[in-house]
Amino acid sequence: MSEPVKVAVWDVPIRLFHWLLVGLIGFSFYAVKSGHVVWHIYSGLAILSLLIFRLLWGLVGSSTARFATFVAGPERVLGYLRDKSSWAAAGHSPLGALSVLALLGALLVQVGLGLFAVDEDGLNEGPLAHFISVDKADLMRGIHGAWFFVVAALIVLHVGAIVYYRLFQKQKLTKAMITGRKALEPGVAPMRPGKWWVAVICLIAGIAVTRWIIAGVPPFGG
Amino acid sequence: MRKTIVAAAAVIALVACSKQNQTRVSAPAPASATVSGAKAKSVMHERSDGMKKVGKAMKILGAQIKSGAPDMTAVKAAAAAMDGLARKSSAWFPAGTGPDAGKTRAKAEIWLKPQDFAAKVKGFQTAAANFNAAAQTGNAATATASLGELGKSCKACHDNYRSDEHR
Repeated sequence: MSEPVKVAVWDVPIRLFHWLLVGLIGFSFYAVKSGHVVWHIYSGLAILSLLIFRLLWGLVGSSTARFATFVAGPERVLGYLRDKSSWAAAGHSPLGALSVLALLGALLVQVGLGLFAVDEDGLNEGPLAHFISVDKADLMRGIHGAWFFVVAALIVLHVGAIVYYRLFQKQKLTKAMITGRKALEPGVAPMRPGKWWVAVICLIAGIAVTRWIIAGVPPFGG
Repeated sequence: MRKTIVAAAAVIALVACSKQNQTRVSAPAPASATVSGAKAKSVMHERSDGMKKVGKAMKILGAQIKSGAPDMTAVKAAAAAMDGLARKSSAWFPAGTGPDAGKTRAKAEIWLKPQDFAAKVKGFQTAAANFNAAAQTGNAATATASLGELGKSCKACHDNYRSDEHR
């Protein structure tokens, strides 16, 4: 068996996205628990911009960022579960892909609920809350709070899987998400990078869509 | 010599006690005398319902004002309701209705800092009355300008004297 070689697996946009998301989720939690609802809303809107960026980068970004590359059907997931050596590529494993989709989906739901929620005192609300009745916006806050447990459970699973891979598979996944490089078997194709200016366009699009939502989705609303 | 010291200490202690009693008597009780039992429960229910109504009125006001084109009939009604509730609110916190008395988000600090708390309630009442006056003019801009102060008065008290939302 030949020595593994370190190759590029995550590009800069993916790594920035990942760690900014970690920071903003932590900050959102802190802000709402300490009564800073305005900070919480801004943080949530920043997360929305990042999520839109990630969805676009998943279509036109680097090879390991693309959904078409890493999203695996049940057959490949089961195959990977039976025999981990059946899969060798740069990027998300077939099982990891499920985790990524679940996390992105759960966060989109969470942000979406927040857009329609009003705080309990009626002092601050998501930019789309005035489209629905006061009682429904209250309900949205309740679901937004409850849905956090889904997000938290997925984060625990995500971190738990990283610990498992570190202890039992001798894989340093966190380091790879920091440096962008990971030791892979020789012959495995490394990440094909995307174009930096495409990443910038994706980010601008994410921010633009968020700004449009903040403005109350004109011309459909006020 | 020793006797003199003991006597002096006793005198000082007595004076100190009487002073304390005096302040206790002269300090205005925040709302009314201490309540307990069924009376405490009913005050706590009234408070909880009242605060929910305050919240609902505030949400209606927020939704209307922030829509950019407020329905002033709805604003006037919510403003009047808010003013009425604010007037009642000073009776919602008698001693004996704190966390020891049952499930409540009113913090014990309310009764540890009665003067500051009373000032916060007064601030709410003033802001609610001012907002109601502004809303009843029927001028959306006047009402909008006055809503911020009302919101601040909610937050001023809730930040210190209300515990987290229970789910």
